[in-house]
Amino acid sequence: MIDINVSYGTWPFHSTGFQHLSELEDHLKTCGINTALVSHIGAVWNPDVDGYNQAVINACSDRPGLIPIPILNPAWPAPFNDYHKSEAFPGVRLYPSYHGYLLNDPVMDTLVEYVLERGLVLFIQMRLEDERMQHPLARVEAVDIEDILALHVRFPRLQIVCLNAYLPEVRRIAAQSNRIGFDTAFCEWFFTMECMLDVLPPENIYLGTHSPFLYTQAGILKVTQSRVADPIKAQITTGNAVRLLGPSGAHS
Amino acid sequence: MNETLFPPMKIQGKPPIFPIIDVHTHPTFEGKNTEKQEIDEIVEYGKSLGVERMVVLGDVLLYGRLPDASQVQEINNKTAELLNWYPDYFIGFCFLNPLLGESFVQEETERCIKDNGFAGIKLEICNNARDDCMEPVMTQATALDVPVLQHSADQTIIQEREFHTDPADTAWLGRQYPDVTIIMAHLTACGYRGVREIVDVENIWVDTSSYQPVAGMVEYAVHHLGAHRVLYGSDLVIRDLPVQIGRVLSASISDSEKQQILYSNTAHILGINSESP
Repeated sequence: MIDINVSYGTWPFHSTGFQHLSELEDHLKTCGINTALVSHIGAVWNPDVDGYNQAVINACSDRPGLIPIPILNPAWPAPFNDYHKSEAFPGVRLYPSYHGYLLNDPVMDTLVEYVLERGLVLFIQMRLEDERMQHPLARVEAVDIEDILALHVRFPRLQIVCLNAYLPEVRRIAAQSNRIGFDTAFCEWFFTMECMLDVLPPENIYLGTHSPFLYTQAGILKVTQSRVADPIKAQITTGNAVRLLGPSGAHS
Repeated sequence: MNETLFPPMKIQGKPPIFPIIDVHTHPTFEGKNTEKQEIDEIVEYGKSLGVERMVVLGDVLLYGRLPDASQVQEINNKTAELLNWYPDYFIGFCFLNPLLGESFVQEETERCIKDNGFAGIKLEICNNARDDCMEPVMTQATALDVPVLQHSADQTIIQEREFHTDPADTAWLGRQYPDVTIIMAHLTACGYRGVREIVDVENIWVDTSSYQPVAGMVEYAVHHLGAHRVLYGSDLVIRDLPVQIGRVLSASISDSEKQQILYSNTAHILGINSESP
């Protein structure tokens, strides 16, 4: 299986349970995750993201099952480090709410240009925690789905995948476009996968566990123990992500 | 439904060894799933995942936060109908609006528990657990010897404590009524502080239902309360069974502790099967 929503590093409000990347890798493998797209949690609270990106790239360099996804911060007054010049990382990850910009801000234009030129996937982290569970002194609003839709309309060639969207948000976005992807981590209702498939084509759904914030196996069981047909499960847990990874998936 | 659609529940490639009692479900919710064939589907899916019994708490928000007497009765009547359809599967809890007063609380609990075989009382967000209106509820729980399941959630962010019970309020309730078994709902919504609030209130259990399956919460509860005070619950249909069961199966605790949480603790509280399988 391929997990498109994994983080690594220290979270200030509680332990993630994994001090070293090797422990996280072992845990994911034990759960049946052979390939994971990993970004560094440290960059969430520090707008100068390059050090964290480099750290996770270095740490993943001898771990073929872990594919680093650099975080870009278009609001930071410095040119993007071109992480994709020498490595075929399949995408970039954004934390708009944590880095203090909106998806319709002018600063996004340069980022979109960077992403489109390189044919990358744009992973938009809609939230990291249930808003009701945030530290009271560190409350961060989710990304506005209207901003996502507006970005999609402005740049229809962008390949957008939303991470940690709630099911009602998926429904609202899917009603406007059938070309935006979603991971499974925060979607939940009885028969979750059928609910997602009611509004999305199967090719737009990706296994995401949001490990290590959430229990990895719980996120996997959401898909594997659902009532959807086995070929659809395989598509969601593996096939769609293989397509998403493109040539970079080869090194996994 | 065939076996392909309902594959045996497996974790890390192995089938689970635990039968399950789900102490927190709402099979009918928002006025949906009221038909028997819809309930059949829920029961069949639950059984396929190892859930042997479900506690039905009612469609508690069907009429908003403050249902009147007839609306409370209607909600409980629906629970009774589910029990009638599946007497060996569902266990009913009597939903109450404590603000409706002592005589209603007494009549409705006796109707549900004495006449219809319900096994507990369910409280939602009509009032805070510290409010005076709770006294008749707890008196009836004592008299009828049934547990009280109190919706609880950390109010630091939510800010509705006027009517929404914080774990500190549930702990207060437990201290006032040490002879009543209280189930504090929603471990993850109560959070780390919620666990700490009830550490010394031995008549309070916590259920694992709802919110995302935040890693480490089950271990934290087991560490501070002991596995004997943690009960598996899903909050179905608001949540999905594989995820909520997976929350317990995923936790870094012993198989014995998982078995306690998933089955025997609730079995003991409800007296439905003291011989754990």
